[in-house]
Amino acid sequence: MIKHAYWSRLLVIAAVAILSATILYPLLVLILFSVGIGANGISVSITAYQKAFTDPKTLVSIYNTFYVAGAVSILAILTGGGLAWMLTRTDLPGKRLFKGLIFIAYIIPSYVMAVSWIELLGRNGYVNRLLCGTWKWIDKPIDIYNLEGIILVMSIHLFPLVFITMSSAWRMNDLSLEKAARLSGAGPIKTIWTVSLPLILPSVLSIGLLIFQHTMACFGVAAVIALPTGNYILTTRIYSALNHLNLPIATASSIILLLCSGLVFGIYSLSLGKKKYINVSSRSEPPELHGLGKWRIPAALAVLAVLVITTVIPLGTIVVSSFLKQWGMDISLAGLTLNNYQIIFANGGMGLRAIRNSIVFGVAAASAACAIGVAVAWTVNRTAFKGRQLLEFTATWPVAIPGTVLAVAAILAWINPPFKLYGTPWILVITYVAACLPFAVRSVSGSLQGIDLELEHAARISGASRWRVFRDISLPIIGPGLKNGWIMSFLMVLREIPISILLYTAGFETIGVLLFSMRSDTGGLEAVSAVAVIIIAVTLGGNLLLERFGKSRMEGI
Amino acid sequence: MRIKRKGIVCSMILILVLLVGGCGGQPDNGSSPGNEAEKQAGSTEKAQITMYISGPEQMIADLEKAFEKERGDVLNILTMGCGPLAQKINTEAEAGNVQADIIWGAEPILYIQLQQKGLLEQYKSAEAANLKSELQMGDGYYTICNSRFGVIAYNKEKVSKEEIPSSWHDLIKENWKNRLAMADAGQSATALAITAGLLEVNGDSWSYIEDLKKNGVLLTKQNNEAIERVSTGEVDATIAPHDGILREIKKSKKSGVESKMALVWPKEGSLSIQRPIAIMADAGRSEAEQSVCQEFIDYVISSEAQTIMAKYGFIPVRADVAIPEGVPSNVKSINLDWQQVASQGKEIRSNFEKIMLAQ
Repeated sequence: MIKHAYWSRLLVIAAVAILSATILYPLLVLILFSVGIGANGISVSITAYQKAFTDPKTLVSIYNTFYVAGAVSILAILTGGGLAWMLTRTDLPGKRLFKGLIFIAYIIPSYVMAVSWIELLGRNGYVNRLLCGTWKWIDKPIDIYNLEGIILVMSIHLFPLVFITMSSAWRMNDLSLEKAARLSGAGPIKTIWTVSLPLILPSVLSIGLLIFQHTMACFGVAAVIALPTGNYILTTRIYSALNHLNLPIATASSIILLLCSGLVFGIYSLSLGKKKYINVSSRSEPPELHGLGKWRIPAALAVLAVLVITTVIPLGTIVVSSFLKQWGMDISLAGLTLNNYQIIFANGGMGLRAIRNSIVFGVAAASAACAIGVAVAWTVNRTAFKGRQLLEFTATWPVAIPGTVLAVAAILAWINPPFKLYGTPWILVITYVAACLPFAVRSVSGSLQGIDLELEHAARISGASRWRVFRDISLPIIGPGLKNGWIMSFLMVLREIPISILLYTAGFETIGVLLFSMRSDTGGLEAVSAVAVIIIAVTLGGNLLLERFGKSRMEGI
Repeated sequence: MRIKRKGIVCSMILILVLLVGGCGGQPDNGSSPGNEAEKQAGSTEKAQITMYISGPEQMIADLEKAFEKERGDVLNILTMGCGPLAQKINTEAEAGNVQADIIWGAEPILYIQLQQKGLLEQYKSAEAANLKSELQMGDGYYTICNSRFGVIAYNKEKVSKEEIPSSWHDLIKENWKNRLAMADAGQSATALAITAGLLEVNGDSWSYIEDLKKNGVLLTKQNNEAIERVSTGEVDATIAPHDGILREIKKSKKSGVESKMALVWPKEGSLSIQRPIAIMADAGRSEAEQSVCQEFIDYVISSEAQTIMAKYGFIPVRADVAIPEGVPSNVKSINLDWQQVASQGKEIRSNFEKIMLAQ
């Protein structure tokens, strides 16, 4: 058993402290509030819960929520995981291009992605105009307004997340096991099925859980794709209650969401807890690539086709729309304009300020979340503290809560002295950190899971200091996960809308506020596309800079 | 060796204690961008009030500029949609610490609810005497500062001359199947008001909404999204407030594209929806700040401000300001009993959602 040294206790205390402040405390305030214990006196009642649980509409929306979240998880894992395997373990050509496209797919805000799919597949979408009108291939337009529509858009939005995580997992895989299987006479398929897949199962489950929870709490996509035809999910109910000032019902519905999410987390923990995965990664040679042989070109074309549909077409739609005079108009030279970009930067300097603020907040929140993420992941995977699983659950549950509810909890928690942060930019940063933590923790935890302690022990025995072990061994191991977690967090802040809208203060507008103000009647969807193009450009530019100057031992995606 | 759960509990307590000193001290240490310090230092010469506003940003900017011309930077404005405005002010109220001095936007329903909770301050502006008589409501707790009409917008390219609807009831005819959109009364308070108006048109019967559902009406989260869907040809017609439609037409014109949208003022009557402004009850305002609040209310219903708003399509509250271009002078309007809508809001919403829920 590991001896808990002074520093490791300190680490745990720090992790617990920060989690208590950023996550536990606001949620506690919210839950107390929903049962009638708040600033305006105490009158305990659980009527909100009774109402929320017994409303037949709730049952339908729980069913819809599970259906969507389940299907998205499966689809995203199949697509993302499959692509990750092809791009890390085979000799597929064109890897750089494919990786770049997948990364771009992840930068596009989900809401913009949804709207661009409507521009393509809506009743008057470009695709339907071609299929029904110009070519007359089908009589009835393809209908995107249903639960399957959300599944399509969310899977496309989230598969890059799986790809990023699974790429690290595939790369970390111990090859000697696979080699042993091959030497013992197993075919390549059998080797993958019986050796490689079981080895990466923890990563698959971990990222699958994150996707499941994230999809459950998502509203932006559902609001434009499923709400139109009355397909309500749980978050629809939460927003409806919030918009009509029924905070207790909104909280109670959020708790239902949390319970569902906790249930899935429980299943996940159980399924992991039983087996012990050993996945030593002390290898020094680069992974041996599976030769695709004659399938090399067809496989590349297939990957290209998938990415054209999931990334290139929506991206093209967004870029083209950002130069259109009006969203959805027939594309012609006369219809092009730079006006949408001018609007963004003309807006009293708000556009530039918003972009700058979001970058600053994003860097701060992502860095903080990653630091905490390392502490939490370390405690969970490398110590034997009792209740350490609880720590991970606490750190990851904000992903299961809609942004607006997080913001409302933050207002309730940080409005009264002595904790008065509301009205300052700090509340934004703290709430962003809470929202980022799940991504950071899962990502770092994923890279620590199943990696053997031997290396660290060996280094200690050889006389290295704890710091040196951390710097030379642990950090390189968690490096890729850390970098992925940071990028996910940073992008989350960059694209986030509801938290920004409810918590911003004058002079500290963010891209979320900008998106919203473009969305309302100043700019329209053309200007929203222009903002999305700017987000993509900023992120890609930042990534290039990082790669240029940060050629460290951290391996990129 | 394992640390007992006690250890974790202890450290949590320790943290909370530390937080009191840590986080609590932060804003005062000047790490916050001078909000507090400014307020204290400047209270004698410079009063600043905080406003939450929902409305067209350009219009708000115009009004702010005009109001601050003589007074200096006295307005600290946060713009947001109707939904977030209601959420924000309600959450602040529930936490017992309202931060806004003035709120402006959304419908009277919100203000009636806030007034019932004792959160609004009574101020009877001298200018209010110039308001049209039917708009003199709220007893000074809130003041109506513009209004809009729930009407029909259609896409000229998709709707033939013979098909152009002339009444609300035209929209439930069979030829409109799968061609309509409107905002969800569950998601948008304005849509709730529109729904209440449609019930009124239809003699308090839900059959009209049921027929809309039968006609496959597409729901949107907000009204301007419904308008957008007509303008992009996704649907052929929508029920929405007229000012947003006029602004969308104007925007197209400005970017050099002829708008595909046109307005119909239904013959049963257009649904009149007012937008109030109110001062929040707050003991902590300085005298100077208090007077800025009151001056702003006076200003918003002055003919100068009303003229600016009319430019953005809103119907002025004063008879001496011309109604905006594109609005006929003799609009037949259907007025709502806001007290009744406020008290029945929950029921309306719940019925609406029940009808719209996918089968």
